[in-house]
Amino acid sequence: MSCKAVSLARTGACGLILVLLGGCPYLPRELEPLKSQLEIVKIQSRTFDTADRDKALRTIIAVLQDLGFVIDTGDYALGSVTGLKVDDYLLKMTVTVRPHGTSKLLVRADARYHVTPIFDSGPYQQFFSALARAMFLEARQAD
Amino acid sequence: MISICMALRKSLLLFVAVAAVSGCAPQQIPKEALQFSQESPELRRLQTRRFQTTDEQRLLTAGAGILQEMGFAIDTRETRLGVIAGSKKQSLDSLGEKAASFAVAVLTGQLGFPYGMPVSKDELVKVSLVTRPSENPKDTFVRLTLQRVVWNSEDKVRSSELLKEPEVYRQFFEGLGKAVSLEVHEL
Repeated sequence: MSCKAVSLARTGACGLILVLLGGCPYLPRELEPLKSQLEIVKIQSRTFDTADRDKALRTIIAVLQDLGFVIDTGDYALGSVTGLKVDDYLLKMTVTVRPHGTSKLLVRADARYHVTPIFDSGPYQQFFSALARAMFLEARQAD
Repeated sequence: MISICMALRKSLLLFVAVAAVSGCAPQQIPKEALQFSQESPELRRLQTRRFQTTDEQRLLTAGAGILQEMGFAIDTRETRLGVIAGSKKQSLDSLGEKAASFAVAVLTGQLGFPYGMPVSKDELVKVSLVTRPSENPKDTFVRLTLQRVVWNSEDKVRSSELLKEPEVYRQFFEGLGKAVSLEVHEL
């Protein structure tokens, strides 16, 4: 009887461990399905129907500030802006703008949570939605 | 019966140990990190002022001067985007924290397990100053953003946050208004 109880306790512990591990929202990077470079570009990029690069860069800066970022660097020639957000975590966002054809702009964002690159589509969807609202334009998936 | 209790106790200990090291601490980007919060408009009002000029260069130059007076080093500037970024790192010397740490050390020492409570040691404040033409073609918006990271005496990050004290922003914009001889308008 006591052996059965010990065995039960052990089984229970193993079960709890499995449940605990299974319930973790984080999947180690080694176990994540690898995304192709094309998929990553698609997740991180949107096009906007405007050729006004200056306005786009300044709107990106304003959106980052509204989201609680401090602007860390800006480079007009490269069309690049980097923001940092600290809120008991570190989030770094680098956004670049370049022409896409003659009448569009391609905006690409790269987010790093602490030092880990983010490849989930959710955070980028949130950022581009905020940017689209601020630009009064639709954010479209790049061709 | 005793062996059952022992086994259950061991199982419980194992569970706690696994919970502590299983990596369930949040590793994903928080959902709210890239969402407008309810306090976003209030934050914008706190950090932004309007000036009746279109001379962004003048505002940035004067603003950089004030930041330097406040002890910031200018790390980068891109006037074509209306951006200046700076930082300052300084040591913290909080008598209150040191006294509390001493009291805890004495108390825990008497209880037989001495513990030295870490105290705030250094802070890094990052700042960005951004100018942006207003919808009104005669005006320019200026937005100041400040963030602070504090390390403790064990060189671990104790806190990291956006600075929201109105006094800091008020002082900066008052100084900027004086430096460019213009009235400062709140949003």
